This record gives sequence, structure tokens and C-alpha cells, in this order.
Amino acid sequence: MTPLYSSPSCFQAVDLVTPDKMSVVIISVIIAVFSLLLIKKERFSTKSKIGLIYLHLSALFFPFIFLSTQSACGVFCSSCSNNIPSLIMHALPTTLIVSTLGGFIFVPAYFTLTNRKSRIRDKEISSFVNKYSRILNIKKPVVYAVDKSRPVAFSYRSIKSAIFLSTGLLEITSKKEREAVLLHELAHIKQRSSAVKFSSHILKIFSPLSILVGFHHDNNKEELDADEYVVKMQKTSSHLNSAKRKIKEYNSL
Amino acid sequence: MKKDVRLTKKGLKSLLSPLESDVLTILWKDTKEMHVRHIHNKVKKKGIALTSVAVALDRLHKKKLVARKMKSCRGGYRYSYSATKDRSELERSIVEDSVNRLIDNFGSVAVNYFNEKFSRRKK
Repeated sequence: MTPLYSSPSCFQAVDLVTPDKMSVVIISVIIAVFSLLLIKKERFSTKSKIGLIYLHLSALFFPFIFLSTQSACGVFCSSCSNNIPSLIMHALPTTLIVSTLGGFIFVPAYFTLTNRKSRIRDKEISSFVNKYSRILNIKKPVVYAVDKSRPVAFSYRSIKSAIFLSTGLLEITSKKEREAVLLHELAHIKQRSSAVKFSSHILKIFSPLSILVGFHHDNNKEELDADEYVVKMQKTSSHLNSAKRKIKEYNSL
Repeated sequence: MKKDVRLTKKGLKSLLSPLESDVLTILWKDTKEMHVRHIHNKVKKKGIALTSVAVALDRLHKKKLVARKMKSCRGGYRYSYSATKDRSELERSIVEDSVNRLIDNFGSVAVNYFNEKFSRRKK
């Protein structure tokens, strides 16, 4: 290895293209392609799908981080060793941390901050959510009312899970219909649906391979499962159906 | 007022849909703030659904004819609505908008016509 210029230890020039390094890059790309193809299989659970999405993203970005720690300046100002295992030790956790922070903290935080909302402190709603969170064995989510007239409900699971109900939805639904909506969202939190959706968005944004493979996340199954849970808990589909009918009616006007 | 005034329709209906005009009339009658179910109770005899009232209120809000505030209540939150303009103010703004459009479109022809019309009336 011939240094291109003399400098402090972390500004040493190193050879970027060596057979060892190229094989690491090729293996990483193969893992990225293979994990993407696996995501398309329907049979995987939500947890596995999320895992595969992040495996794909990590494998896809790993070569860039790997090679950047190899270039003249070490990204973390670490000494530019030419030792492959030590470089993997640097690059892999970085890739995983960046993608996990993006998917589970930054995106939900952005989502929460961009909506004008107020926390619902109604005792009935609070005890209802508490009861079913215990039944579903999930952390009790915070319930917010969003300042929106269009009837919508959504949720996400993060460090602190949350359910968002628009004020328009709260206005036009009865108590039982509201409970049906809450149960539907709690089921989504249990399924980690939001995490799959966020991760799928990130995948579509950051992975050019997802376009080539024609990646498309189908939400239908998760919606049907959440509806099934509501019917199971309420022992009737009438409240859920009438809430859905009202939402549809509002949107068609 | 961004929406076109339909001068073939009478009164408020030249600007608003029949339901929007009914809703606004209810808000004018009641000086206190009202929520969607209050208003719905007053129009439901006509077979109007709660969602239709909610949509009408939202459209009035977008036209800046109705103000709304999120208020905490049993069951979470709801909007309380109040009219931003009284009837005469709104009617005046409809007339103003229509006349201004005529002047914008036809310029001096429209202005001369109004002069003639009003001077004839004065006589």
C-alpha cells in the first residue's frame, strides 16, 4: 500500500479495489437481491417481512459504508486499517442503526409532529384501550384526536405506540363504532402493520432494486385480519360495518 | 369568495348548496356555538344523514363562512361551529362579488349601465 499523501493516521489512502473487498461487496449485493425476492413471498409473517426489508436495505447500503470507511478518510475517524473483519465490524452496525432509527424513530416522529393533534383523555376511551392492550399483550398506546374533518384513523407502533383518530371521525361515529375503530387500530399495532408500511415506504424510496423487482406491499391481508379481530371481540360486525359505511359515505360526498 | 355565484338561484342558494344554506341559517338562528349533532337534529326530519351535515359544515369552513374549534367532550373531541359572518354581511359580499365581476368583465359598459340605471331610479 502506497500512501498518496502524508497525513495523520486517519487520513491514510488505501486501495479501494482488492479482490477481498470486491467479494464482500458482491456478497452484500447478492444478499440484498435475495432478501428482496423473499419479501415478495406472501407466507412470511409481519416480523419476518420487516426483518427482510432491513436486511435488504442494510445489505444494499453496506458496500457504500464499507467502501467509504476504506477511502482516504475514515468515516468515524477510525484508523484506516485494511483488515476486512474489523471494517465489517464498523460498517454493519452503522448501517443497521441508521436504517432502524429511520424506520422506527424518525419517520414516526415526523408523522406525529406534522399532525395537529390533542391527546384524548376521555376515561371511557382510556379504559377501553387499556383493557384491550392488556388482552393483546401490547403496550398501551396514546390516543390522539387529529384536527381533521375527514374521518380517518391510523396508528403506529414505535417506542411509544399511538392511535390517531380524526375529529371528523369522532364526530360522526357512535360509541360502539368508535370502539370498533379503536379495536381495528389496536390489532394493527399488535400486527406491527405500521412498521411494515413505513419500512415498505423506506424500501421504495431508498432501494432502486425494489422498482426493478416490482415490490408492492399488499395491505389487504392486514386490514382483513384487523377487521376479523374487531368482529371476534365485539361478537358482531355491525358496528365496524356502520363505521366503515359512514367513512365511505363521507368520502363519496 | 372564490366560488362562482349562480345568479339563477335565489338568495343564499346562489352561492351555497341547499344543505349548506340550511346549516348556515341554523347557525345564524342560534347564537351559541353548535356541534354537528345539534345541527343534524334540526335537519334530520328532511332525511339528511349526519355525514352530509358534517360534509356541509366542512365545506362552509373551507369557504370561511364557518369557524370551528376542537373541544374536548365525552367520547374524545368534537368541533364546535359558529358563523363568521351574519346574513346581511354575507349577502352584501355576494352582491359585491357579482358586481365586481361584471365590472371586471365589461369595464366601462357595466359602469355606464349602473350609472344610467341608478340615475333613472333617482328620478
